Amino acid sequence: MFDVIFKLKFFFKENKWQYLIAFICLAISNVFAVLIPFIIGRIIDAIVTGEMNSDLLLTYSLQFGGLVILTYLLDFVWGYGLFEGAYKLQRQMRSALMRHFLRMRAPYFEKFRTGDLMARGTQDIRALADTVGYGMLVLMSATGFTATIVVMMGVTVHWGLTVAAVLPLLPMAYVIKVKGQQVDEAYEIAQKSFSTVNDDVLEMIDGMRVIRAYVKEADFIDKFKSQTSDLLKKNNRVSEISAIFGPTVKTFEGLSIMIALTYGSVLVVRGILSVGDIVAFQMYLGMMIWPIISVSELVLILRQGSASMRRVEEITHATDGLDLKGTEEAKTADNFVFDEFTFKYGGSEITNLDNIQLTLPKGKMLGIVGKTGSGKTTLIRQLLNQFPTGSGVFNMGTRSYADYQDPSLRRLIGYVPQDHVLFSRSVRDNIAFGKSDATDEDILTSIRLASFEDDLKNMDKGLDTMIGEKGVSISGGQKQRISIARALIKNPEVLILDDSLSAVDAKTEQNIIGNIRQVRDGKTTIISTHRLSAVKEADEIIVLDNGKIVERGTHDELVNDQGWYYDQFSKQEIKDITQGGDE
Amino acid sequence: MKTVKRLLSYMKYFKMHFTIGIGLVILSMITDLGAPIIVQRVIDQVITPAATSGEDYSNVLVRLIAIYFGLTVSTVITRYISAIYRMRGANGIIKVIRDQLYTRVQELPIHYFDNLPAGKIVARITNDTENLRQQFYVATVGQILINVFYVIGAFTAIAFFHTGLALVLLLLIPLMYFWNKFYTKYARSFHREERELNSDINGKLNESIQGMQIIQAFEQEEQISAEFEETNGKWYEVMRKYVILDSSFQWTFADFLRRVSLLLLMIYFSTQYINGTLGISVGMLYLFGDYVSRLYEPIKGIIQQMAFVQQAIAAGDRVFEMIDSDPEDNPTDKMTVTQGRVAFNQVTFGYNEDKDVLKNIQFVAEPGETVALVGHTGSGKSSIMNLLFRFYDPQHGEITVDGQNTRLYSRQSVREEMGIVLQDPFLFTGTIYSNITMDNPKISKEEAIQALKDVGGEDLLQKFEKGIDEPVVEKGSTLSSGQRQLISFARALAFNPKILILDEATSSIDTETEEIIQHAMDVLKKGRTTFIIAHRLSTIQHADQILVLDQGEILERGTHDTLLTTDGVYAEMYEMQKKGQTIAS
Repeated sequence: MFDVIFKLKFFFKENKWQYLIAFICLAISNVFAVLIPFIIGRIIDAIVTGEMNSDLLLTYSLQFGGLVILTYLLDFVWGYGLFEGAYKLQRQMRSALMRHFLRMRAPYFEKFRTGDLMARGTQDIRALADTVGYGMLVLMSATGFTATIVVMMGVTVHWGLTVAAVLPLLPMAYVIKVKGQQVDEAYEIAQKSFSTVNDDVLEMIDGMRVIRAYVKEADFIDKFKSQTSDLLKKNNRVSEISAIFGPTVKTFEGLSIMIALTYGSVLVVRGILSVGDIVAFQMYLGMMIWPIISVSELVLILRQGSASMRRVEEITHATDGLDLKGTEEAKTADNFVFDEFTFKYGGSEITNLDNIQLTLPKGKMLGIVGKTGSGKTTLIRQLLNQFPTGSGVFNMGTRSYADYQDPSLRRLIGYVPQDHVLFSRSVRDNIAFGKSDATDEDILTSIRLASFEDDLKNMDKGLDTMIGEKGVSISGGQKQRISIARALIKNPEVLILDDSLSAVDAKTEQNIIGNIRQVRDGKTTIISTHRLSAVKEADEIIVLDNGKIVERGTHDELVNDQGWYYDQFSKQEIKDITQGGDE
Repeated sequence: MKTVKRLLSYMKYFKMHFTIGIGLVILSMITDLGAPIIVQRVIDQVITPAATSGEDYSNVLVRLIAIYFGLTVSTVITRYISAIYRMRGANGIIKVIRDQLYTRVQELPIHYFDNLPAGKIVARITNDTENLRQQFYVATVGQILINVFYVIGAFTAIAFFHTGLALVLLLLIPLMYFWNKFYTKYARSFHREERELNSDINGKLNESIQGMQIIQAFEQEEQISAEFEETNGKWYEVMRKYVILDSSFQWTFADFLRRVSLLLLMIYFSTQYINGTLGISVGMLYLFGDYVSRLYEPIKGIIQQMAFVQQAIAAGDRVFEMIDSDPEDNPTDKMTVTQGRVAFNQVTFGYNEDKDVLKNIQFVAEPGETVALVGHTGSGKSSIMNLLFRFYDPQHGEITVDGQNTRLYSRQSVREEMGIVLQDPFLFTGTIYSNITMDNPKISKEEAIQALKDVGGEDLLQKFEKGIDEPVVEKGSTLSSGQRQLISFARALAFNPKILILDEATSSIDTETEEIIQHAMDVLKKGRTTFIIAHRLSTIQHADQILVLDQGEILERGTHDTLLTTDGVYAEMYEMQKKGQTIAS
């Protein structure tokens, strides 16, 4: 349970002065806080016994006033120390996590879903920080403050009375803890129902047109109402359990006060205690409630903190299993050679690349075609160092690809992915992502090459148009073309298009391919595609099936072979009209 | 204020809950504030005399303790019941609001959703309402109200015993007011900044995870890290300032004020004693101390909760904006479709005022005919479908089905005899069966199975262990796009509409799937007026009419053969394809 604190030892060590000062201030402030009722007790006694005079009043008032001001200042110091520390930790952990993400390659991101990484990177880190801020405060008051008050009661008033009055508060902590667990359980059930409602609404919005086309509005409303009824029932259950907390505290508090008054008056009759003692004691009891409740809270906070810690550690300790230790700097691209190259994804049952024999001479264009899942992307990913290297030979020039330093390889490659990834920034910044010192002229040239010119004209703010979440939404085809422009502006030695023209129409595709051929004369280009027209002009085309190269050659050769390529080509030529899927 | 009034008006749905809830809160407040009076009696009638005389007043003590016990029990019970009723009321109201929102969404015009991402709508129906539940109906109506009652109660009690003291304490009110104003002013702006930066941080994190391959391929790790660091740092700065404000002006300050009041109370009564005019007993002194302390807890609570009220009002505004959105006009007359003759008569339409996407469209589809729509992106093909389904209505002209102007009939009755297959088939969570029938009890399982077989989906039934009852998860993501297509074809077939609209899939699908779909389309077309929004030439060669659209106008029309002889755009497209074919053959 306390492991979360031990695991964060590095952080407390780094900020040891801050925490030391905070804890000392907290401890002193606790002592001061309990001295105030003590002084009130003395003032009352002075009045009851008739000893009160101006001098005495002045002394007491100065002491009292001094304590009030000092307590306030101390409270500020430890409050700042503890809570600022929590936010500092939150910031630090988030940054560390981001840096970890940036170092990780594809296998890592396949292990965890984005939503999961996000939840851990935000909620769990916040929960952890709460443990460090509020949790520390609770820890201190549950232990330190309770002890201070008990000692004060015992020493200045009466030990017997203290034990008698404080004992009934202990079962209160227990009842609250048990009820707290029940609330958690009920809450989790309600939360599940809430998620269902959430999912249902999202599905309804996404499927709006289908619902309306099939006139199913009323059915969906009925279904939703029964969902919200279910949620209502579960929320009510949570309310019923949580409503018990306040009354429980009140019950035990009342019990404790009754004991204190009864036993207290007996002690006064015996002449052991004064009236002031009784008044002060009542005030101490009032101060005890919160620290005692916090004992049960502490368990919960620490448990949550530990769970969050585990979840965060899981993603910070996990790695992508890649070992990129090449040291040779890749100054320029060379021939790519695969020889008896075989690769399997971790956890995959089949061989994803099987005995690949392939030479791509520098400056030539390679076309990769094949069914979905045949290994096209897998082959390309080998060049990107996104997955572990397979077995067999994979060379650039005469050296193994793995010998080269990873960043220097990436510098040579321009990559256009299958799923268009753009960032929420302007069109300009998205394209200049490939070349940070690009001039507008460079950007416009690459836009022209990627056939995005007409689209740009329709954008109100031109290059400054924001895209993504905070800007305009653009179609899949437009995204693909911006991705292409981003890769082209880099003017890379090796350009890789991974089925990146699927959402543009045939005519535009031909334009882009034509432009690419023109500007990339003498530079290595790899195009993987479903649509064969995109690779017709390639120097070599390979057909992949189940990870194997099943056909290879130029377009004409493959057509002559009358194999899979020929089949596909005949079917596709007829179906394409000058229209893709830009909608 | 208007929003608050309206939020309060929802309490009428649970009048009994809130009447009982609030009534019992007042009762529990009275018994709770009565308890310290008993303690005062014990001090004055038992302890003080005992201290001076050494005598034992156990009779009085027992009686007083019994009363104290009674008050405590009564407070505990009333408080518990009250909390349950108030929370049930709050939970119930939120169900009412959620149901209202959901129902309203069904009646809103489609264009309402054009500019609003699905996530935002979902957030209104679920998160904003959840916010209202916790921060308005539980926190504001519950906590703040209770706290206000407590403050009033404690004041009244003090005034009852000592009017002068109550008057002096009244000075606290302006002090509290300015304190609250000062605190919330800064706290709110920090909150706002924090929320913005936080959503920035989440956005950046999300985007980086999704685009990691690109970031790495373009070597932008440093840049992204630096940008994240900057936002993260800004966030920390805001939080640091917030901590300073909070540590100096929130709970610490409330504690400070409470202690100062106690000090002043002591000084005041001690001075009176020294001057020989102490009009009150020691027990009373205790009582005042207790009441003054009690004043602060609720005030502290009010200040803490005030910060949330603003958020609740903002959530309420968003919720009501949606509830108040005008539903689309919808006549009640029902259209009856007997033949399925569809005519567009001089139809002009634009999604917004300044740009027409369809201009003067005129055509007739006779019953049973297949009409193909061909054209580039933005030519208006899909808009014709949108108009036919009355997802949108044209600005000029009319659309008739069997001679009836669709605009004069209820949208639902227009859609009832129409089937649709969207290019990205949408499946709902459930089973294959529930997706084919859309939970329509009139379609039996046998009919659903037959429909699936007819469109060529027999394989699907065998492939899955549970056959037609195979579960479908969110968006059908465990099914291939071909399988999803087949299910949505079967859906259209099972509903047996007179008019059918097929929006062809555009993205590249493998050839086998393509053939299956081609077959399914042939099955579906039989005996109904069919519109095909075509992306492939092969699909439409047998169409009775081909309409070639360009920039919202019908450029050419005719059959495949007549269009070829006219040597226009269509012929050109076709020639281009043919050239490719000769190489192949």
